[in-house]
Amino acid sequence: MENAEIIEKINTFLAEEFEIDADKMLPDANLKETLDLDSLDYIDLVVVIESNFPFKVKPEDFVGIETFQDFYNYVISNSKVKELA
Amino acid sequence: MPAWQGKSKGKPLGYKIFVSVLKIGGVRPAYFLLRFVTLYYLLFSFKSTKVIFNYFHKRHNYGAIKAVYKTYQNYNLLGQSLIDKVVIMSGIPNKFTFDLDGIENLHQIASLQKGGLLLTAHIGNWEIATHLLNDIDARINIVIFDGEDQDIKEYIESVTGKKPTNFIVIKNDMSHIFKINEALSNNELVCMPADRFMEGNKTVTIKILGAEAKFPLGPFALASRFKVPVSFVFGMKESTFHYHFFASEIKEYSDLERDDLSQQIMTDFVDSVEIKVKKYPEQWYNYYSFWQ
Repeated sequence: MENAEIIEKINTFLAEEFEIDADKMLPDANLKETLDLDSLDYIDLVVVIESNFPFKVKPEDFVGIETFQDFYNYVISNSKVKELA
Repeated sequence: MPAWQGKSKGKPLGYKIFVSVLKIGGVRPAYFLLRFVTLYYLLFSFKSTKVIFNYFHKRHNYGAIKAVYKTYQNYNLLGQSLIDKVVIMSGIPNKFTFDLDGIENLHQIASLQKGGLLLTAHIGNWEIATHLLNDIDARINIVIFDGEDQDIKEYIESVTGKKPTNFIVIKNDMSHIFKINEALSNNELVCMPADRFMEGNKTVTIKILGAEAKFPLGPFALASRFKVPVSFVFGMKESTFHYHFFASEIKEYSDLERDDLSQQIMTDFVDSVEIKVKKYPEQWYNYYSFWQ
């Protein structure tokens, strides 16, 4: 899957899951604040990532993810690792 | 809004004194010493005494004198549960006996190889059971809030030795959510209390013991989102040296939608807690205004 396709897929499920307009999901926007994530939302985020992409979320993965671009990079790099495996 | 403030009572020196008594004289002298500590808390820990008094007086309809006596018993049993935990975890010789009611349900959850959520509450002493479940074919993780004084924690760990059970600490960075997910993905069991919440957590209001109280949505959302089998587990003290552990049949709600599923698990859980609290009223250990 190309990077652009992955980003589009991410934005689609984020918009659906967290009921947010696509125009708010800017690359340098803060992920937690924009989506207004609380602990329950992180559960949904994990479930949605693992349902849509072929990798398991590890506890240490989200350290350092602040913006949407950080999140895109995280999913892209893990998806590609899985593809190569 | 009534919510747990995240801090437990006790000082490191107190723990050290009790451990010394345990090592020198065993459990009974420690229990004897505990009576004086219990009296101290009854008389001088006004906020928690008032809360527990009201719990007995209003929720169990005890008269005032009985409620005061039961409050003393409650503090004493809490102290005993802490002593018992240290004794069992550190291997100090003791006469404790145990009934493991529903142990086959935990074996069954482990055999499903899907992970499992064991929901409990701050009643009785479930944590001891996790140290006895050596033949369950799955690792057991316990979710805790890291509100304990660091000195107390370190001292207790130095006495009891390295804990065989894995702890998942609830943190503001949400890392505990991912650790719980990882544990469940590895087909491990995750044990967590489902009766306390912090300010800001999403809650649902449910009636228990005749009045409305808030319960955290999180543990039930975990069960419904991660679609793992659930059992309700409790460890109740039935006499000086005897514990009775309960693990309910596996709860399955495959025909329910996600939000209905969370609600149903929560309803069933609260019903279970109520049954236990009615049978063992002195072992309620939520020392804050639990009801609205």
